[in-house]
Order: sequence, then structure tokens, then C-alpha cells
Amino acid sequence: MRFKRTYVLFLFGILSFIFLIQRPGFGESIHGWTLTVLKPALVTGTAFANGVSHLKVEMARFWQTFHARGEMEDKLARLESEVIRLREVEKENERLQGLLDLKETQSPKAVAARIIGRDPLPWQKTVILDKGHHGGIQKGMAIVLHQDLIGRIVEVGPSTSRGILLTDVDSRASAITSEKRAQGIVAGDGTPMLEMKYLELDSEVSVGETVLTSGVGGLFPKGIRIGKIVALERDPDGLHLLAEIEPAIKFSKLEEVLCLDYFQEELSST
Amino acid sequence: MPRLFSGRVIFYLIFLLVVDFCLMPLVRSGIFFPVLLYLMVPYAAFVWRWEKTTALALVIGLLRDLTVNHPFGIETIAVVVTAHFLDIFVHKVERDAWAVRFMMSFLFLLSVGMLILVIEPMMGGRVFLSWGTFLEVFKMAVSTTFVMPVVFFCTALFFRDRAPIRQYELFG
Repeated sequence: MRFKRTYVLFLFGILSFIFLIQRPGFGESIHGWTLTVLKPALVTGTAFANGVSHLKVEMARFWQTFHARGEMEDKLARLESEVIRLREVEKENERLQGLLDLKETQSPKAVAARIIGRDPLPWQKTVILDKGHHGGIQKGMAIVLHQDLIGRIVEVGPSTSRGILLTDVDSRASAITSEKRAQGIVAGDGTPMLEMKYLELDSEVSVGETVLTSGVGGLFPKGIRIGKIVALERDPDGLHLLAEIEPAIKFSKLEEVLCLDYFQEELSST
Repeated sequence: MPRLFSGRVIFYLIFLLVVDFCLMPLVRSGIFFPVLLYLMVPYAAFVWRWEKTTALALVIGLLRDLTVNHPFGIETIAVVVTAHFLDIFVHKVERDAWAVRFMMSFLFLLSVGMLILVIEPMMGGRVFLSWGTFLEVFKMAVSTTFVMPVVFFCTALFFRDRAPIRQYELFG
């Protein structure tokens, strides 16, 4: 009986403590420190998982390449002549820039990071990266891969950080279509697909158009690819179009990413 | 049967946490979303037959609160409250029957998920209970219950647990 009373009091104390310590930023700092402590275990686990995944992929790729070697040789010859042509175009571009005295836009600083874990919550799409403050990661940085948008950094610890993917229900990015230049907001809905909302009814967007970041709001740099429109329909409110977007990236296959220091560059240039 | 704060138990809990973060994403897709760490609570209730199941649930809840992207405390509250009720009901049923274990584990997991979705908006979280999130919780509960026999087997192997010997009266 005494044990039960102590036990109940202890539980009550813990629960009260939990409510009392709720304040902005507390969760972020404690998550950051805990993940930093667990980082070696997460890195080991991810290395093992990646090894298994790679083995499967490499075996499949080996057989595909073996069967397609003739095609590959033709493709290589075509690409080599394309490279020569593009080098000429680049030289001409440099000459013309010099003539017009155009300043080269500086690329945002990028920090490479590896994904070492994914949050085990069914309705959240967040990943844990193996770099934090000490590695140059800051809150709000855009996460990209091969010029395609992945998400944004939301929490930073000493040597780990947490990023929210575009497919998360809480993720938003201002976007523009590549051809018709229609503006809207790309949002995640927890599924592997994305939706582009608030497109004007007369915007003439079509299935197959590429969607890029518009740079509005300053969260993400302009011109980063998000995906491709695969379906169009009217919004339930009837005032806008709603586009279903197939992301350019397979979010389940991410391993290494780049974090862009775009936001800080914009602040320092104004 | 190990003690609650023994190194073996803590190591195994952290191992399951790392598996949830790093290895389970390889197999998770669509409707299949198991979360292995939660299964230690039913294991303690059914196999260890602990009155300390709620204390273990506190440790598990704190571990998840320290690592998962939630306001701090949500997992602890949800897992501890649900484990307390699991502990009460487990004493009133046939614990060794697998059908009972499946049903009670499923109800435990579903209750934890629903409680998280109810508490999170109150503590400044981003997600709330809706049909979409309820479906996600349901999928998590079903798929975690599905892998329960494998996790129980591996856990019994790690802790060298053996099924308790039943004694029957042979002579009336």
C-alpha cells in the first residue's frame, strides 16, 4: 500500500514536471542534445541499413548494365559530343557576360549532410541529419539534392539536426509552374505526393508542367525543382485549381543531402 | 526476469529505438508502419508479468520524448496512462493465449496513438485527431501487432526468458 502511494505520487510528480517545463525552445534543445548523444548508434544503424539497401540496388544495376552495354556505348559517344558543344556555349556565355558587365550571382553556401534516421511517427515526415551547429547547419536552411527541393531544417543540435520533408503535412513552399508561370503553394499531405494549391482558375496550367520554387517569402531559393504536375482538378471551394504533384525526388531513398545557406545570404545582401 | 534499470534492459530499449529510427524505414511503406519500442510494454505485461509495467512505460515514453519530434512529455503521458490500464486488464485475462495478446496489444497501441493525437494540440503540437491521422494510427497499431510475435521471440532470446512451467493437478 505504501509502495502504491509512493508510486502514484512519483507519477503525479513526473506529469506535473512535464507540464511545468513546457516553454518555447525547450523541446528543440533537449532533442538536439539527445540525438547528439545517440548519434554514434544512429550512424551505425543507418550504415547497416544503407549497406543492405545498396547491395540490392547494385545487384539489380549490375544485371541491367550488363544487358544494356551496347546502348551505353552509343549514349556515351553522343554525350561526349554534347559536352564539347556545351563547352563552346559556356565560353561564349562568359564573353557575352563580360561585354554586358553582368555580375555573377553567387551560389548559396552549401553544407553536405547524411541522413542517419527518420522519425518513427506515421503522420510525420522528418529526418535526422548527421550535422548540427558545429557543422554549419542553421535553422531554416533549405535541404536539396541535385537541384531538387527536399525540405527545410527545423531543429538544430550541437552535432545533429532535424529536417522536415516536403511531404509532411506541415510543410509549405511557395511555387511557380515552369511554362505558364502560375503561382501557388505546394503543401505536403503525409502521402508520397504533393499538392499545389491556390492556382488561378484561368492560369492555363497543364499536366506535365514542372513546378519550381518561386522564392516568394524568402524560405527557399528561386528556381529549385519541386516536381511535375500529374493531375488537375478544382478546389473544393471552387475558386481555385488544385494540382497533384509527383515529387522530383523519391523521399524514401534519400541518403546524402545538401543544406543551403540561402536565407542568411539574402539577409546579408539587403 | 531482469530488473527495470539494469544495463541489459536499457541497452535493449536503446537498441529498439535505433532500429525504429534507422532500420524500420527500409521496410515501412504505405500501410505497413511498425514501431517496435512500444511492444516492450506488452512484453513486460504478458511475459515478465511485472507490476512494474507502468514504470517501464515511463522509461519508454521518456526515451521517445527525448528523440521524437513532439512537444516534450506527450509520449510519456500517453504510454504511461495506457500501460497502467493494460497492467490492470492483463491481470484479469489469460495472458498466455496469443489471441488475447494480439487483441490487448492492438488496443494498447491504438490507445497510445489516439491519446497522442488528443494531447498534442493541447501542448502546442502540430497534429490533431482527424480521420486521416486516425487512419495512420490504425495502420501503425495493426502493423506493429502483426510483427509482435517476431519481437517477442527476439526479446525472449535476448533476455533468455523461458515460458513459465504450468503445474496441473494430476490427482483429484
